[in-house]
Amino acid sequence: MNLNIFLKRRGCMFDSKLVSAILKDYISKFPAKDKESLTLEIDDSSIVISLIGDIHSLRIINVLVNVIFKNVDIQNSDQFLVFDLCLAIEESLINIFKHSYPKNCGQVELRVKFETDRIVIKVSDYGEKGHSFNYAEQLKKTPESEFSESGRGMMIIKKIIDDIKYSTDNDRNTLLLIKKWKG
Amino acid sequence: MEKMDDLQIFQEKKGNMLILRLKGIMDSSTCMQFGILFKEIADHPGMHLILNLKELTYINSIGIGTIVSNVRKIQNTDGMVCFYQVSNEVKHVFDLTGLSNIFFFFDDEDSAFKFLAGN
Repeated sequence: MNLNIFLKRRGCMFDSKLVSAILKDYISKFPAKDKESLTLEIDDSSIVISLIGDIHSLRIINVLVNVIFKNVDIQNSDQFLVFDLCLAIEESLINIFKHSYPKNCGQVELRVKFETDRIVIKVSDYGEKGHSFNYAEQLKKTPESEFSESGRGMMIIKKIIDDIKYSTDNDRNTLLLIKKWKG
Repeated sequence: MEKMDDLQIFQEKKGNMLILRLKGIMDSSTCMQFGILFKEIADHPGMHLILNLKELTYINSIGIGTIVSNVRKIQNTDGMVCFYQVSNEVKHVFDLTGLSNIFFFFDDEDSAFKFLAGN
């Protein structure tokens, strides 16, 4: 039986042992400072990555996210689905490192849950509320001019993601991104 | 390692046209080297730029912002910029950001060259 069909019948969205082994292999090649701050939790349908870093940590997270999405059977539904999800996550993290932490460095958490017809992504930070990125305001904004250097991150997220919500619970700020896919 | 590649920039000058071939990824870690190179181009008024993005496999909003703001600088010095052989992924990001409508894209270097020579 095809492994993906077998896993789906068991209610699993991917082979967590296989993905975990691949991720650990990648992590073993990361620089020591990134490895030290990185934690990874994985089960049959979700993944949690936590990292203390800065904008240069995006590469690390993007590598892991790429591996995860490429090992879940979602690629046939849309040519750019995996690329888009990785990009939306990266843009969310760029916003955190640029706006949530005064020194552009801090803890981020990425939670990805694969459901039968949608992918639920939560990107969280623990930045001071006063410094947190104002998503309500940013979601309405467009770049000031076609040639401006910034302001395209939220535009990209809005184009890719079906449902976006922002919440603050105690010290944790979370951007919820829901992407529907044809399971 | 996948997606850990840096950005390589290959330059070729033909008259007042500079052809840049970008290979790798353009993000927060690599866009600065592109910005430095762009500044040198903008210092030569009337210089046109042709960008080959066939081997640029990834770009995010920071990379797009770097290209866009520097294209503007070249245009301000009477230069023109166009793109050719843009990879599907990078063209997709140009589409997502609505920039496909304001830049010129060509299938090959010859077409890009003729376009700039005629302007």
